[in-house]
Amino acid sequence: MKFIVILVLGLVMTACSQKKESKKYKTKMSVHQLVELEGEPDSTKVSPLDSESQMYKYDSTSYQVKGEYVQVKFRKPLQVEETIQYWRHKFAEDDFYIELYNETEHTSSFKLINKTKNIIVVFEQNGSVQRIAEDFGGNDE
Amino acid sequence: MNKLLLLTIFVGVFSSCSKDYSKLSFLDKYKPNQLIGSQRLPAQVDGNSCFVDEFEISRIKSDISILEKKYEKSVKVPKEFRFTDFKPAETHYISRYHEYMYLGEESKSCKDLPCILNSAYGKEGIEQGYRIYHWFLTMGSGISTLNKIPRYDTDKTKKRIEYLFPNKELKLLNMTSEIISKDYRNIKISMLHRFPNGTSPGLLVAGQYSYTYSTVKKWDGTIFLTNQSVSVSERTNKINGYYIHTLVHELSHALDFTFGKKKTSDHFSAYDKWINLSWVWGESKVTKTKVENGVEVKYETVEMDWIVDEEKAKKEGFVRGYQRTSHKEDFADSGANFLIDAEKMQRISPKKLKVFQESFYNDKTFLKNDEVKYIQDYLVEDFSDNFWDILKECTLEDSGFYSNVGYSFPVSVQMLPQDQGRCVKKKSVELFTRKLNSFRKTRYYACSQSKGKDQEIIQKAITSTGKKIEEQISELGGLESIKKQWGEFRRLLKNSCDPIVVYLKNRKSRDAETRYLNELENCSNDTLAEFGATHEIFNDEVSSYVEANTFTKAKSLAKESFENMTKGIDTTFANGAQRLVSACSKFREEELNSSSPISGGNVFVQASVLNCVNDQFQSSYDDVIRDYLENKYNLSELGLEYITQMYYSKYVSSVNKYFVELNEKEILSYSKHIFDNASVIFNNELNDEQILISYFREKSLKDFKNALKERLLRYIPSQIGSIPTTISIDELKNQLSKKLEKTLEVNAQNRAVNEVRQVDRFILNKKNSVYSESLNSINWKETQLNQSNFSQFCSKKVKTFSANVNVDLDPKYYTVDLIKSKLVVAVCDLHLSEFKKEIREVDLEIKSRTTRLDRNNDVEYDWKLKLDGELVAKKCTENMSKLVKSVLGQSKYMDYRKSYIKHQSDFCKSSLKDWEKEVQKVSAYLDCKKQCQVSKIAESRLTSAQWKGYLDAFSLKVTSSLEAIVKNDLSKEISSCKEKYPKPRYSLMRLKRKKCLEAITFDSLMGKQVSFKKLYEELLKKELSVFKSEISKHMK
Repeated sequence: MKFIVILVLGLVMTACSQKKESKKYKTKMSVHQLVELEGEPDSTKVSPLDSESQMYKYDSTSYQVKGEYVQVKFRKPLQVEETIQYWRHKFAEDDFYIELYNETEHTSSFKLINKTKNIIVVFEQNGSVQRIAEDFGGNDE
Repeated sequence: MNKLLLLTIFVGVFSSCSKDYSKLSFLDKYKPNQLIGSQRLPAQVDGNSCFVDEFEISRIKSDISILEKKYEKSVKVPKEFRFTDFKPAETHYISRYHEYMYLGEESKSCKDLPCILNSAYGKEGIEQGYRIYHWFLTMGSGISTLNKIPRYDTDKTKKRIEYLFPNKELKLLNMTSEIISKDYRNIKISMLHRFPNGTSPGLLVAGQYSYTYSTVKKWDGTIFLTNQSVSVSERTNKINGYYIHTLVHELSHALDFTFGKKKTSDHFSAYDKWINLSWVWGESKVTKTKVENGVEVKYETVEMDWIVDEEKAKKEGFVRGYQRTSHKEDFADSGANFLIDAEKMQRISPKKLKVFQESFYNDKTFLKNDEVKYIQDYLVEDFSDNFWDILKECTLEDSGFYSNVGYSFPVSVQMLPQDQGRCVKKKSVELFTRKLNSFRKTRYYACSQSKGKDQEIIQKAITSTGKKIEEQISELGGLESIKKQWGEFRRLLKNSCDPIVVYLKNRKSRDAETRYLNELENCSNDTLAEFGATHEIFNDEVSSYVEANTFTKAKSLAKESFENMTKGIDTTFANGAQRLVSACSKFREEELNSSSPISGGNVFVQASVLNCVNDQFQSSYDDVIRDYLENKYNLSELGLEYITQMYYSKYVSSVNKYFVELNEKEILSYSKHIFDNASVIFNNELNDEQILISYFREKSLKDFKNALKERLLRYIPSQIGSIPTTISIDELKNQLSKKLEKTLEVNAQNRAVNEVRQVDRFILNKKNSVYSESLNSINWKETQLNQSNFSQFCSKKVKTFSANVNVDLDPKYYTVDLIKSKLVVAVCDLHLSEFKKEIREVDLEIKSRTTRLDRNNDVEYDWKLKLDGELVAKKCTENMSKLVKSVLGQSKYMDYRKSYIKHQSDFCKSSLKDWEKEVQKVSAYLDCKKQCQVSKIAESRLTSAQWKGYLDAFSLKVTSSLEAIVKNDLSKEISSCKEKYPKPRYSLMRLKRKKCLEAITFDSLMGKQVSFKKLYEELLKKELSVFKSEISKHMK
């Protein structure tokens, strides 16, 4: 009987500690997990944004990896996500702001930054979304 | 031997040969007339130039680019020419004529054949190379660019340039190639050579044709030319001078030889049709030479040969006396006369002229009267076809702007309505003029026979075609009938097979263009069948219609006509967009369903508005298009579909554009107003107690934002107007909350000020007791604490003590938990302060004791002098552990086993490094000589006791090493001698053992110890006697 109580207590404690661990690193993905999830990348190259990071390129997605962890996931928008209108409505409850991202002679692009959800949406002047960057928390340590 | 060779090499100049000439394979492939077509077309039909003007270098180059396409495959060129990639035609020239091509170093930078040929002239980019290449491409023979002539000695007084054909002669060659019969092409001529001025192949010889055949080497025919006069008259447009006579004469020899057949004779001139005109087989007086008594003597003899038949010659004579020389010369000169003086030839030897006319010139002559006839014939050739076109243009198209022309036309043309009559006349005259100009450029004598006679020639052409004109006009029942039929058919074609309609039907297919053309053609043919006309002009009309209405043209016609139709549609779209948005602008709380086709661009649009706009977009677009078009046009379904697709994206843009405009207005009327008056509008929210308490407790704006949104949704409809379409209430509330947060914070602080004081007092009272209790009760040493993890550890532990504290306050802004948390923070601040203080003290103590430890190490020196790094490290660790333990023994927060571990490790690593440096210094001292040793001591900074200690330690180490050597290695050597010579009782063996032992020296052991070499040597000397006695023991 004692043994059962100890066992149950032990399991509860394990479960609690696991839950806590899982909560803490819920957005953090290791390179190993990435490869398990997406397979080997089609190509890798040094990130243009950070020379110490690598870009793992897949068909329509790429991941910025630094050390052992994935920092950012870049992806093309799904059909429903192709307009900035969609994102402004989706993020209505969050604090977000819009910054100029890139400006050329002919066109400008902007980024909508949602710090609450760690998502950046890059879009053109006409409101069409180019890509979405999701922060994976790989910078936290 | 020489005689035999001479006999073997039979040289035949203008003579029959024993073997048939075999044409080169590449020449067989291209029959003469295929080289440039039966007639060289003029470069341009406009202008007033003549045949002789058509040989400027640009025209020659243009000819070359056409002619050389006939050579598809390259042939191998000699090795020395493989410095660039030649065109196939060029490789044929080089392959055949490379033996007579100049090739210098400068030639090797060339990229084409004309450049190599020009390099012989020593100049780049000149005309000669192109003219030689043109001659080859038209006539099939080469022109030498060397300063040697086969079978003739080279005159060394002459320069190479003098052997080369000058440009004016080459230009004449190019002209001649186009004047003479095409039968002259690819005949038995391989190469043309030019003798330098003042030299010739023989006395008074202007030119020579030679065909040599031998069993040793085969030669093709060769023409030798000399310097003769040549010029082109600008007045008559004729070539003057003897050069052309010589050239055509020699070419005619080759023609004679080429067209001869072995069965009857080797020359054409020996055929009956030629030989019987002026010649008869008979005795001919021949002058020969023979050697008598060593002297060469001339004598006359009689041989059978073709001789002039004087009777026949009265009717069929000789234009020049030279023709009497032989029937071959008669033929060759006649070939030249046929071209140069046809009238005289006609008078003196009309049958010979007839032979050339019929056999080689396709029944044409160069007689002036014939030339005029050729011009007239050419002008009216294919007149019927051309006149249908003229009739069509003049009956169906606007012909009102033609002026009258001064020619006499048939009555039927005179009877035509004035405009059409003028048009027919003008266009007919233009046609004849164009053809006359063209003919002048393609026929040598056309200019001289027609210049200044245009009016007469064209009038003759009109007169001669008068009957045809009459026939053609009446064939369709007169002009009115033509006009009516043509007009009807055209209208029918346009209605049944409108290119725009056919395009609209097929434009969406993958192979739209093919489908379009097929349908247009089928439709046109069906229309023709339906029309029932059988006259060829209607077939032409169908072809022209299909050719004229290409897919691209139909596409642009459709675009253009619909664009014309929709001019001003932008305004309609703008109005439509405004109507659509206005109809949808009622605000409702709902989710965004779709942002397509209208996305709003980068402007926010209320979900309810955008959902509605997208739901109603298609019907709105249909309405806009219908409203716009129905007022003006009755469009087919295809047209409506086209226009709908064409403007769909434009209407999408119009709606998005309208949202941008609306947004600009709404920012001014809504956002600006609300921000400017924010503190007044949201006064209630900024002073709401619940909001202030919430913000005070959590620093969260959540409740405040919710309140702002509620206020906005009430305020806007009542004070400004309907909820804005393009301003997000959520975004607005977020921006407002940021702007108003500071005011909210101040308000909350002011309201809570008394309670804050009470709580502060409460904490002040409680914190010391909780601190004391927690200081003694908490096991602070269970983890290794540092400044970064201390607060977290402390809060966690102290929380249990604060839980038991009784909060005897009645807080409004604070909660009890918040007060207790504040107490924990205050207590942990005290602990942290104590912890920091302790760290400072421990740091100081350890630093001070470590310095002392260092000094002790100097005194307690022996373990450092063991010359053993591991021992040094171990000793240091022991000392440091003791030191840390003694310092941290009294610590409240730190355990000596967990703290300062790194500090200890770093200290010992540093100590070990210092010790290694000292050892290196002593070692360096031992490795160098006296003067050097002095400086090493000075550099070392070791005390004299330390220095002496290290030297002793080194000495001791070496001594032990030597002892080991003697014990291990030397004993092995001695045992070896003993084993080798085991019985010393035999004097010889004893002697050998002694020698073996004596051979063991310390030198032989030197290689076995390498460290501290100098010291080792010194010690060896010092210990020598000891070792010697040791050895002597063994020797006994």
